[in-house]
Amino acid sequence: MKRKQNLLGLLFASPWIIGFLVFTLYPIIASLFFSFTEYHVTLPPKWVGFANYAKLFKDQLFLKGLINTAWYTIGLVPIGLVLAITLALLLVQPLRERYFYRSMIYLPTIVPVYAFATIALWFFSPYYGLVNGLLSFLGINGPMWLNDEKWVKFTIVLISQWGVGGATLIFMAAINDIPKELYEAAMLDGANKWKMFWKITLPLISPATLYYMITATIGALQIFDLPQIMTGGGPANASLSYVMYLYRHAFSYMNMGIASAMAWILFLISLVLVIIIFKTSARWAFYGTSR
Amino acid sequence: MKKLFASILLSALLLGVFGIFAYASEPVQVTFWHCIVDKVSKSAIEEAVAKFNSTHKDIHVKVVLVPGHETEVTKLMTAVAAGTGPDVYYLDRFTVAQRAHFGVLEPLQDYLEELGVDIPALKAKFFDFTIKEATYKGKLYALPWDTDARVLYYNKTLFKKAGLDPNKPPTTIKELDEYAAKLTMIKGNRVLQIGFVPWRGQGWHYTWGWAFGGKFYDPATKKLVFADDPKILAALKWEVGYAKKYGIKNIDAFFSSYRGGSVPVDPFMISKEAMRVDGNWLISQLDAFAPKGFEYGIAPIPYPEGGEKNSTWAGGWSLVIPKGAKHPKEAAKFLVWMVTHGEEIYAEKTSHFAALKAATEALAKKDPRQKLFYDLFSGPNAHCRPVIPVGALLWDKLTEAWNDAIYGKKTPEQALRDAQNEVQQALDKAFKEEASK
Repeated sequence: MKRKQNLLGLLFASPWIIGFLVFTLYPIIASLFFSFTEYHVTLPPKWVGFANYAKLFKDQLFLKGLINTAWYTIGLVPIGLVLAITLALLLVQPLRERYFYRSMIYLPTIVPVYAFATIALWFFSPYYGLVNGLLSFLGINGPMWLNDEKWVKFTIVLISQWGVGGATLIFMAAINDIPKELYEAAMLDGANKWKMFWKITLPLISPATLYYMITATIGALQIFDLPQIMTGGGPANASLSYVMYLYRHAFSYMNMGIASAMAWILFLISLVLVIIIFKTSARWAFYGTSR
Repeated sequence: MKKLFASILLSALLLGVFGIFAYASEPVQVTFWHCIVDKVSKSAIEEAVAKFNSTHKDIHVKVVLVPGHETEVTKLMTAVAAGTGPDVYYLDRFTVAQRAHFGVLEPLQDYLEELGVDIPALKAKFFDFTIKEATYKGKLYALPWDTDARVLYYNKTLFKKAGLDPNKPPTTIKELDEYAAKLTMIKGNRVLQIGFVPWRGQGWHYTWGWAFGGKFYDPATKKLVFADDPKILAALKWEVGYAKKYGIKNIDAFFSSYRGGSVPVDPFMISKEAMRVDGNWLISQLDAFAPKGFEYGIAPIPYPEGGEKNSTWAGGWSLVIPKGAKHPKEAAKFLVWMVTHGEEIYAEKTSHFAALKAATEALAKKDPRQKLFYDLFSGPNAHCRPVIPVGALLWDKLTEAWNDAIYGKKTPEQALRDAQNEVQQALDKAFKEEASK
């Protein structure tokens, strides 16, 4: 009986299991193999050992893409965190129109990235764009945004915040989960709002913060669509991300061997970063033992 | 019982016979992918294919527009890898050797022979260099589609406004620089109107490299020579001068205002860019989209002292059968029709030169504006890109080197040297593989 039940369970789970094996596990293992070969897809792979890896570390564009991606990550993760928590704090306030504000904040997340990027291009157009138009009202001569090597990455980080609604939602749920008695007790003890935020809210939403840190870091390391659509990596490769360069090797130059090697290097980098976040989280992520 | 059995057998037989008839009259579906987005050329392709379909009952060609450009064939590559590629693909001809080398193309010549096509007679109909570009290791892998020539376009109205004679276009680089300065309007850092930017339009590395009298490749030694050629270096340095003079950021910002959006605006057509090197196909687009009263002139590409007078170069596209095509034989039949009869329609509608000699000569006679292009094209200083199995890579690396220098990431010397070393390495490897195959 038990055995039959187990089989039945497996049967119901089988679409996922088969999908995982065929479309996830197999490609992962295959890409490891291909990373040690010269593979142009239309010709059979040729074993070359570590040549792809050695070639990459001598490749200036590879290093450029890696450094750019590091900057993207440094920009995207903290800015997104501060923005999401701030918005979440505002949206849990007992305002009458809060449902309207919540939908407004979440709405941009469901806009397809291509449509959004195209509109954002116009917003940040140096001469005719809305952003520089508004800045000129304040008497500020706006930068060239996407046309300036020094500004392009920051501009893309700014534009990426259109997707902040997703993380905001998670922080909102976490804040709503905090027992109200804690705030009442703190108020009786004479704590102000600022203190309450640092001593109650922030520690109690730390599991959500941990979740955000990990998913956002992995996401930032894989940034691709916005720079690909808006700048194509320019000017002068200043916005070329790691995954964009990987994509070029895979699909423009049809060098699947190099592309696979790049994928594995990125995987190892992500793994190390995630382990670091996990290990340090013991110090700041709070899973209340008495709860 | 026996009767019943017999009647069942009979009806089955009849069904089978009808089935065969039905099958035979069903035309073979041939898919044709191309990446031509400009309206004039796109509809010309559709017209030619419609004519083929109406005259060939046994084959039906379906046209599909896919993303891609000169060296960008992502869509094709992924489809071929997955075994879902088209039967016919529109490929930039100078990349045929490279794609054939990497096994992306079917050996077209085998199918032509199977069809009984008189290959020498077919080849003789096309300009010689187009056949060379379509050949890899002595075998046709493509049939040439069109070709072209590059000249300097200039806006006569803007010339008059700047006090220049609209009938005297610049002939030397010195004049070009002078006119460019007169035709440029700058307020603060902001460019309001640009006289000339060398790398715009068809101002590629090859365009200026050759106009300056430089050499890119030596077929005798099978070596790339552009990094060692002082004339190529001079061309690149001259272009870098423009980036420095106006500031590359300001130039980019100026042109980015016309890009983007669903309908990009050509700054040349709205009189914001006074001069540009472009191909002869721009004529048909100017006819279709330029505002009323738009006055422009064409002239040979200016050259410096010690450079090359009447310099131009010809490229063009081709039709190929990608690896794993479902109906290669029917595709080959369509190809032969398309590059001859189809191309006649295309050349007339689009003012593109055909690789087909007769069609181009007819066009040059019919449209006086095409005469200059044709004279340059058939002149002594018309070039075509080196026919090597890494032609696409060479193009990409030259483009990269030019960008690195223009954006000040590398010195022109270093940029050229890096590109030459990298492509030479790939070229040596390809020749070695070719010899051992």
